[in-house]
Amino acid sequence: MSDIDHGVATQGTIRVPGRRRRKIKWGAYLFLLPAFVLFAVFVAYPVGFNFWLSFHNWSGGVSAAWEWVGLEHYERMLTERTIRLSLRNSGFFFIGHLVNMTIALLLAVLLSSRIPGRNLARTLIFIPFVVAGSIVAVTWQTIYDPNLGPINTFLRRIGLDALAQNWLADPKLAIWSIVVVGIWAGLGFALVVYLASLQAIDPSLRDAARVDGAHRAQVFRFITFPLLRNTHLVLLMLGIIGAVQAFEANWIMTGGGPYGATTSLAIEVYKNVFNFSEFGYGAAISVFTMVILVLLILLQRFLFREQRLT
Amino acid sequence: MFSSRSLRAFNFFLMVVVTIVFMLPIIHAFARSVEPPGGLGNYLRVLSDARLPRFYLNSIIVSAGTIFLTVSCASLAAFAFSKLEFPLKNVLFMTLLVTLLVPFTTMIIPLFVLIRGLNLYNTYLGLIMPMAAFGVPFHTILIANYLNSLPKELMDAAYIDGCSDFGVFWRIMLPLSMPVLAVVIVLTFLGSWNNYLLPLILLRDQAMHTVPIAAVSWANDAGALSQFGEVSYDTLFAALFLLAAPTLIIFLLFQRVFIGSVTSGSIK
Repeated sequence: MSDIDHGVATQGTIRVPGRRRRKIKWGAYLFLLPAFVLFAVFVAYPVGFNFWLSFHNWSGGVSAAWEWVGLEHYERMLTERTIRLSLRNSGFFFIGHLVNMTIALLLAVLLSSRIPGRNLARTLIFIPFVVAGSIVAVTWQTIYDPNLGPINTFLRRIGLDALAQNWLADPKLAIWSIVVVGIWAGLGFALVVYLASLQAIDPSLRDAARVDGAHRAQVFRFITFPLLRNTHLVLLMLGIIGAVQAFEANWIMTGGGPYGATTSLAIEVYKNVFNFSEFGYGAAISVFTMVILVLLILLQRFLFREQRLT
Repeated sequence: MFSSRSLRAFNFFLMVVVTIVFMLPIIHAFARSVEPPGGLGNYLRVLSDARLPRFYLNSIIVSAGTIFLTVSCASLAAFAFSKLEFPLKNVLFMTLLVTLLVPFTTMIIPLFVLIRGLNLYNTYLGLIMPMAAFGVPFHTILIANYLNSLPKELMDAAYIDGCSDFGVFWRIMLPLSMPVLAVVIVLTFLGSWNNYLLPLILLRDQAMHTVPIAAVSWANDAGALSQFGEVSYDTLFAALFLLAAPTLIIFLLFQRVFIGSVTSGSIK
């Protein structure tokens, strides 16, 4: 990102010989002031506060004492069942995200061919993305309702009563029921990102391959798919971020239950603070969340580091 | 092999089927919303509920405040990073980049404690400032990238005419950055209007609730969120549609800007 101060446009322009380097402007700090005050008070300070808090016991009361406990909270976390379940669930959400990306990519290829109504289809599929996640969660909750919900009603009507499930109350099923909601709500986003990237591909590349005798599937496998590499990476990274931070749908639909089967790191933080008044332990979990996220992003960067084409 | 015409017919058929299957949850919700005995009257009943305009108003205040604060802070900072020379520039810019790695989860506890300590708990301002602060780093980078593509010669001419730095920012750079500012506004609108976690931890009274929180408490009142006990859907689905209506209407009106913003915000 160091190229930020040598803008793209200036690289092509001819420099006037002997022109002096731009003057240092101290007034620049005034331009930065509002952003950095906001940033310092509401991001930097809280992150530091949170880190410091994670080594203490604190009930959250304004006058309550802070008791230093060192790494105790972190040790406790390693043995806690709910933390293990949270990490497992993040893994499940990531799997769901991969399914989401696959469907979105296939759909994007379909919608990039000239068929009538494709813009309408794109708009309709994008709709859940602009609706608040909480409204989506509530709607799906009624869909999964074991007695009144349309899924079970339909299954019973066609005589498959055995397949009717208690979708959100069964510890094995519940997390996948929520993963499906995530796939559904996020499909439109991945779709429009893939569509935009597909449009940016030079059609002559595909035409050349067709002329050379490649089938449609081969063009997709060897031309289109590799050229979308950066888009895959961006979506993967957003998927990791979303999976680690999962909160909304789980919290609304199951509250993390049954028996912690759909819990997440953010839910554990929330519960420790607002239900158990264990601010220090909650802070430790949230520091842990940040560490995991940073490690995963660095890992992804490392695994997919730029392989330069000659 | 298929002829290209039958392939196109097949593609069209596939698209229609996929879209309809995808829409089933929405179709289900709409069908439920006009269920007898109320019918379309369900919507009228929700509309006459005094809480609804209050929820809209709360969300409008929070979103408008967040958009205003984000756009002003981010565009000022982006101008400095892109067009001015000053010591520690790269260090400060890297600080912003690092912030992008801070997850929302990490902010739950410290923000609650901080906002409570500042006596801003359960206020609009206490919600607006953290929301804006969290978005400013990303949007500063977005705007700075855009400003980098504008030629510096534009500024030089204004400086020769005696313009100050702020004058150049206000009269030249800001009007020229309207395309990227539209992106910032759309993304901030979606992020603040639909945010559930922050209002959940920073607001208490129902009179302060924003739309996403309101939707959940409405569902709770209807008994829809409990696995046990009586459920009376009644007007719930009409309420959900009306609560979702503002973002839906704005999206349908400004579709191009929306889809363009979302893709440019993630690809760049």
